[in-house]
Amino acid sequence: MDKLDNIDDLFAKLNNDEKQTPAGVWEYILADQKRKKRAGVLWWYYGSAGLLLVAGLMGYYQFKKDKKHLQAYTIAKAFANNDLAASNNTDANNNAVAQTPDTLRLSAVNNMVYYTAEVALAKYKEYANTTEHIVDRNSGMVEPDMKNIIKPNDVVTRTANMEYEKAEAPPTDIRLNKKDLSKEKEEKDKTIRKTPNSKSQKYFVEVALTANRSYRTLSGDASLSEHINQRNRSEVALITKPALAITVGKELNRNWNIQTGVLYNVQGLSASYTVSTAQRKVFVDIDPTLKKYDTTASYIYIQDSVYKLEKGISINGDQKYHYIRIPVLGEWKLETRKLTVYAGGGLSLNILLAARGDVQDYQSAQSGVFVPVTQLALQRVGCDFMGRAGVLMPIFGRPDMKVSFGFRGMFSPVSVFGKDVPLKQHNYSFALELGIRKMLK
Amino acid sequence: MSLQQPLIKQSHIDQLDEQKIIDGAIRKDHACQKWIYEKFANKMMAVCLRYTADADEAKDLLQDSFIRVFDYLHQFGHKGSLEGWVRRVVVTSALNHYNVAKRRFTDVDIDAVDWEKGASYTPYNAQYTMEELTMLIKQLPPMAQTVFNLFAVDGYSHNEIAEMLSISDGTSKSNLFRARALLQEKLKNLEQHSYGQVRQHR
Repeated sequence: MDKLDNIDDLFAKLNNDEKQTPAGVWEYILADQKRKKRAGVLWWYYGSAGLLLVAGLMGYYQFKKDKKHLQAYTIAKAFANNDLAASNNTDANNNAVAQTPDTLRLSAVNNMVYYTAEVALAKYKEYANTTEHIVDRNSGMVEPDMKNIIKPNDVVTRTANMEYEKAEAPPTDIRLNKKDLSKEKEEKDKTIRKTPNSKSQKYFVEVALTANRSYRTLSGDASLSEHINQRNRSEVALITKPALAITVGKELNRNWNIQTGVLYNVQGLSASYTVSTAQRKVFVDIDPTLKKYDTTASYIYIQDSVYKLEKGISINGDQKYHYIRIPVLGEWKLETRKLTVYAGGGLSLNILLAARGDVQDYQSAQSGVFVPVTQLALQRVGCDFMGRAGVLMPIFGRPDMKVSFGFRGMFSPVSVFGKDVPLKQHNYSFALELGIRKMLK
Repeated sequence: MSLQQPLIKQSHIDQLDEQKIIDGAIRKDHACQKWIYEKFANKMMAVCLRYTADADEAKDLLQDSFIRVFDYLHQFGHKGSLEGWVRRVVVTSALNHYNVAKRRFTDVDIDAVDWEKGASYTPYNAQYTMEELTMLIKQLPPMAQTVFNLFAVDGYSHNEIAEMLSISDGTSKSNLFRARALLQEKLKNLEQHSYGQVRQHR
């Protein structure tokens, strides 16, 4: 028998060694790939939500800006009305016209009013004492060279270092501030509410299409937390497909409404789980209807069925559940021209119409056993509490109809009180929403 | 049921050349990924077993390594053999995943090593089984074990080993000498006492 020159040569043949791979490795890798793909989709949701949020904030800023303009214009209009009353110098449209050709243009709400620089400055000096915050630059009062600062729709804030000659206090009737404007609006609202058709305008019908992403978390008995928090838990994901809802509602007042209707949605669920040797005791999820279970074993709960897992078993599932839901919701909303923020909650009756898909047990699949999910769907009717909040931006609107696009978050807690261990299951979903609301006559 | 239908059917996979399969795996085609996994899994399992303490740890390492292979396959670039690239990913994963360099290693002073004791012994080219050789390596101190694995089995140079383990060239060499000495001693004992007697009479 030959002696080796180098001991390394004896061990070098290990380089070509092969060992049988344990069961479940490929299934684990496959599940990881799918999870990453789902995470990628999730980023689209977060990105869309972020964009919507930014768009919402910009809309809100624009609204605030418009509101400031409105205040400035209303004040300007008051100036104009005063001048109209005092002067006969008007144009063909009955607008006040300045005496000299060297004029500056001021946009009022409905009138085109012309002031000389001197008159505008004088009026500003009057106005400057009525407010500390909002000044219409169209009236040319901020900089000494007034011709250079005339820019349509400019609004600036008066700062502490702006020094102006102190003027006499303006007449009481042109001291229009925010409070006065609100009173005016209230008077208008009262008038509208007294019109014959105003009562029927409180009812509405709404059609909404949403694209959802759902999550589920569990919390409960502390002794189970170590099992629940296993890393593979996240591999069970609920995927809610686009949902269509038709609701009718009644506006109780400016901010509150109640609504009910019917909502159809397809809830998908994909689950991929492998019981590796390192995870001998795992609760992936627990059946709400399950009364007894063995805490030393591993379970996976896929929708309405519980699978007791043994070491080395992998399960992949892809299911679709068709639900009809009948919600009864109370909702608060804050509605502006550019943005609607809403939050509400209520109960939802859930009816499972049909279920499609299957659950494949990899170990059983060796002998070709597939379990139709229709046999597993036991819970046909249920009732959930649900809370939701969202932001909508109108993309088209007229007084009796509005089309909006926005972002919505939903929360549905389900308390599960099993015989041995109380658990709470929380369902979250985030959705992009496209809705049409039509006021009924 | 798969969540996503594979772009390439499993039955057609054998008709493709390796480059197309790699391209498919880069596109996250599960059939192509499975082909790569099945081709190299057994070899990589042997690598994992050499770098880990037990089979459970080796399985976890294998899973994590292949996840990394599929995540970074686009960096392969068809340079060299795919097996070599996969093996390098597995070895790097082993070193990173278990943080061997920081957790288990201690520098060994070359002068303090009593490797001369067994250095004069050269083993017979006996047919030791892979399991026996693997077991002998596993009996080495962690640092010596990893350096020997990298140098003698996986073919890395001292420079590469020093970079991978964040140690000096000298430390790598000293641990290799120590590993050789200890292995020679163990082989000598093995052959003289139990296996050796049997094998020499073959």
